[in-house]
Amino acid sequence: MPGEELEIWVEKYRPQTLDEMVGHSEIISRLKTFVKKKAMPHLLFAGPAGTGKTTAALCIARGLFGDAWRQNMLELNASDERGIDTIRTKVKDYARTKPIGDVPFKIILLDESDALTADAQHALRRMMEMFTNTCRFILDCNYSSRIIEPIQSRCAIFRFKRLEADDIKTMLQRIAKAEKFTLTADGANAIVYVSEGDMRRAINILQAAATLRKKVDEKAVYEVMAVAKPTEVREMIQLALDGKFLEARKKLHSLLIDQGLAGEDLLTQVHREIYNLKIPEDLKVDLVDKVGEFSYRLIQGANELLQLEAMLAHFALVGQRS
Amino acid sequence: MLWTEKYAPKRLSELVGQDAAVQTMRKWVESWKKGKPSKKSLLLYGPPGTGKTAATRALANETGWQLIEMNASDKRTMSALRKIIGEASKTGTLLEGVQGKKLLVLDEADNIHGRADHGGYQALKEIIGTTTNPVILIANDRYSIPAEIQAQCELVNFRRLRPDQIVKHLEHIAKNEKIKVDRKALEIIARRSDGDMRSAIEDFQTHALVFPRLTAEQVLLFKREREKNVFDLLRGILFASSADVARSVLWSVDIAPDEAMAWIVENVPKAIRDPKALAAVYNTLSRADIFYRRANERQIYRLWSYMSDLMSAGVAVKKGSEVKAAKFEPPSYLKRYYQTAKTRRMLNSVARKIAMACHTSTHRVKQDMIPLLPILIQNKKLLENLTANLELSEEEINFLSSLR
Repeated sequence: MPGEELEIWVEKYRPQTLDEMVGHSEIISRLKTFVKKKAMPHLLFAGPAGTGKTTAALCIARGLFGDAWRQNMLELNASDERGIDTIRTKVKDYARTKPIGDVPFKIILLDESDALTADAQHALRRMMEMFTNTCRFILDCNYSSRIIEPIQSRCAIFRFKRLEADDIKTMLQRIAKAEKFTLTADGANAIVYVSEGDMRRAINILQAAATLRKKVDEKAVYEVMAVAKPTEVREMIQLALDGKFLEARKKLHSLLIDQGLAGEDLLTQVHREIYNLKIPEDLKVDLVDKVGEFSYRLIQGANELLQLEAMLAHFALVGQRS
Repeated sequence: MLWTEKYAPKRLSELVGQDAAVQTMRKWVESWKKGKPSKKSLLLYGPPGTGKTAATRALANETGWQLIEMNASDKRTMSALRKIIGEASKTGTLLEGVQGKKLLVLDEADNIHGRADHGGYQALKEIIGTTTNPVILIANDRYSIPAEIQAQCELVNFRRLRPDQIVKHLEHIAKNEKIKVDRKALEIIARRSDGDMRSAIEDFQTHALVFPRLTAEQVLLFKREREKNVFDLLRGILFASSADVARSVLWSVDIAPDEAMAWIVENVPKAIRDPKALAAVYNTLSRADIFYRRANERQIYRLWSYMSDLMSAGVAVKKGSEVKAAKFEPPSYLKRYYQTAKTRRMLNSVARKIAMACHTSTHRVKQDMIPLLPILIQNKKLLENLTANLELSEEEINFLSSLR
């Protein structure tokens, strides 16, 4: 079975039971009662990436269904499925069959459910009602406010906060011990700092650092970050600010086309970089305003290349003023 | 008056180049006159401008049958068809007694669409079955008509016309209109029409309006005038003296709006160096792009006109005074897309497989994991493990290994 013995540590060391999870002790204890009573409402897990939402859902499934958890759980990712119609078809096909074992329902896990439009969410709500006798939905999202009210009111909402530094360190040391290498205190601190409370990112960085060095210290972590955080976006912005528009545009094309980066992800990075620029504060705010505007135009379905080029042209104009 | 109407055949014998079709139609008319039609309906099919509609009108003219025409612009739901054709098809005209038939003609019969013309074909089948009047269906593509309906019809094929047949007819028109014209010019028009008599006649009339004495050179020149190339478009917009000039340049070029846009975007920053002007021009292009998306998304194609104006007139008025002569080049991103298509495909498929195995999305794997892969797969065991667990293809393995 794919994923069973995967050497990717985020999977290899993903907690198998609710007891193994770190942090969120209140949430975990409530979820445990669902497993114990073999009964639960629809659930809405809200919170930032890498805080344990998917892991909690998988642990619930394992707890309820034991070895048959894969058969009794349908995993969907809203950002990867092609629209609500695909989701509806998959859910319908899945909900038609009975659960395996002594549990009266099956679980449908819909990750990144706030990627669905409001219309799609209304369709989802109807699905939840239609299959409520045979299925429970667990919806994962970053922000519960992006989920329509009728869905929220049908779900028990759990808010996953960013993990505490100590929780992340606990997990990292657990892995270091199992994999038999040393993780120094400054190494662990560095990982916590660069991963911004995202456990998935933290573990990925740990694995990369351990690939490079037997002893993972601060230096090893920053070595990884030098590779993983390419400076190309910053370079692109700087070229534009320096008035080298054609070169900046070439960089943009390389990022979007050669590296296949999504326009909106690139904008997120640009947004972050603005505050590192050496330009007056008021111009920074002006740039953020523009980035937001072009981000909106992208969401409206406009052409990525053209819109981001237009943004760079604006950066060039601001560069001239500063 | 349009020559296509003025010189439309009055009788079937005047129809150019469709002798076999005319013969079949004549026989069919005879069988109706004897009261025992071989088939109640004809299906005339063939490319545009080969004389299908003209033949039908000539036939009505010859027989004196009253012509009732419907075409794609009419709504053809079951009830509409029944109402118009159905009723007419059952009653003869009182005036002309038993011989006075109505000729029911359904033009563009291959355009009866499933949803909009709900039940249209069903109604048509019934009508042909029950009618006491002659029916003619006209279509470009015979095979888009349901087989059952084809079976009810006598099939009549209209062929593309040969250039010499078209030239002969154009000469006839020229003589009648007292127009002086080189045979060579007519040959060019005929060849360009691709066997479509209607478009050849229209072309000829347009040319004749502009040039009192039409020569081959003029025909060729006129063509080039219409399809100014894309470099003229760029020069025209970037050096236009006014918004109006820029607009008319765009209109004169035969190029799709998105293609024109790609060329303009590629070359604008090469010619406009002033950052203020460039930012303003780009903002206008960005707005044009939004109209384009809106138009396509909601199929409101009249929004294209706003896009066109913004990318022509809009650029022209915002371009500033410092426009440099630049070497114009085709849109570079196309080449780039093509060159890196495989890498991008590999990246996406590997990310998707990792995402499935790691309970997450492709998009997140691309952000979190892909940047670390060059380091991670330095561990050969991990690469082997991924290969086995994710069922990677050889191409994907090669792609991964190349990241190292």
